[in-house]
Amino acid sequence: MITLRKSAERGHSNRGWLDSYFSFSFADYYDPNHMGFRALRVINDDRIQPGQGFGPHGHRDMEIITYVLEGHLLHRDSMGERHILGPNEVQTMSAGTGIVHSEFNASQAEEVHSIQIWILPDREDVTPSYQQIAFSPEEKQGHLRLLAGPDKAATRIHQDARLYVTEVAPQQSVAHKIDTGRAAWVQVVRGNVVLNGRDLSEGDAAAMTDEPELTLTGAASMGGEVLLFDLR
Amino acid sequence: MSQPVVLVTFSCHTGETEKLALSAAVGAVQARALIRLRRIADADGTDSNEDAIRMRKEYVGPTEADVLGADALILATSADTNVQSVPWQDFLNLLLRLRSEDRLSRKIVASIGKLAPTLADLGFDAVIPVSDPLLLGRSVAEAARSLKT
Repeated sequence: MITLRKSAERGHSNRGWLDSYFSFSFADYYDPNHMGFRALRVINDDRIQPGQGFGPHGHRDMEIITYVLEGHLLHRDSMGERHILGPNEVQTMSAGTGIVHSEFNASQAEEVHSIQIWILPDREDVTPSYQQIAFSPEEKQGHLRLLAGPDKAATRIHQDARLYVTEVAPQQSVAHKIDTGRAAWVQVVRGNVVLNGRDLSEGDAAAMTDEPELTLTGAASMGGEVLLFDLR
Repeated sequence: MSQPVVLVTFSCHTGETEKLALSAAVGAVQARALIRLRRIADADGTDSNEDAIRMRKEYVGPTEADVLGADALILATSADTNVQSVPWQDFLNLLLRLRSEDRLSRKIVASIGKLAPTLADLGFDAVIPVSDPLLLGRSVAEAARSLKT
């Protein structure tokens, strides 16, 4: 079964410095029908104005993944980490027993467009950690590039969930097998794709259960970029 | 049961007291509290070192709503903090007024640094004699949770 979550149906908040779309309930946006999907709890599509950002705030027991599409984010946290995150990188933070962090647009001129993801951990009270990796754009072009998972191949999260990114050019396809009992969430973050025969545009998403395989094909003139979650 | 809210308010020019405040905030998060971090503005606003510029951007000052919405207050200062400065006096006067209006009852108040005597003079019991800011934050959050139940 494929259930679409269209871009325009998402929650929306515009505070001037921050323009956000929420795939699931978050902050003042509350919809009991959209509280998450399996272990996936938050997908926020954020545009942050130059020099602006989220001041220091706390998290506990959450796997927090940030993926930047445009611009650069400056991250600081109570573990002493201070990093700038840009496109073709991924940042994964395990809040565990507790962390405080801030995130600001590192530029005084350019907007940041980023996706923040929260995944519920499979256990509480893990030691807080910070990971950041970079990859070449070719690794996601026509391929599923693993960004986060429970294994050593990517940034590690404490959950049986895998996050991939792919960029598909027009008519280019990638496929992914969904094991029995598992589910997938497909989030289009840029452009247009066709997912198992359904047209999806930027901001659209699809929840897939009891589907053995998914095929993503680039559409329109530019193709698209997609985050794919493979979830228990 | 709702989570206790801990308001951590500090003043800092160099980033050192900020570290203590952040440590207290982490302790509160460890004790499953929600935190609000607020910075008392510079008296003159002209400090131009990198940390002061960054902190002016990252933090806002505490408001009456912040205080009223918190179950516990932690105030952090350093040895050279001038609590006679206008921003600090404004904040302490806010606390004094809210206390006189009986709107701070059942709130925990604690301090890091030299404010304990000042808070005592104002009639607050600056509680929990813990020197480690992480443990202080945790203890304050746990005490606030106990008061909520």
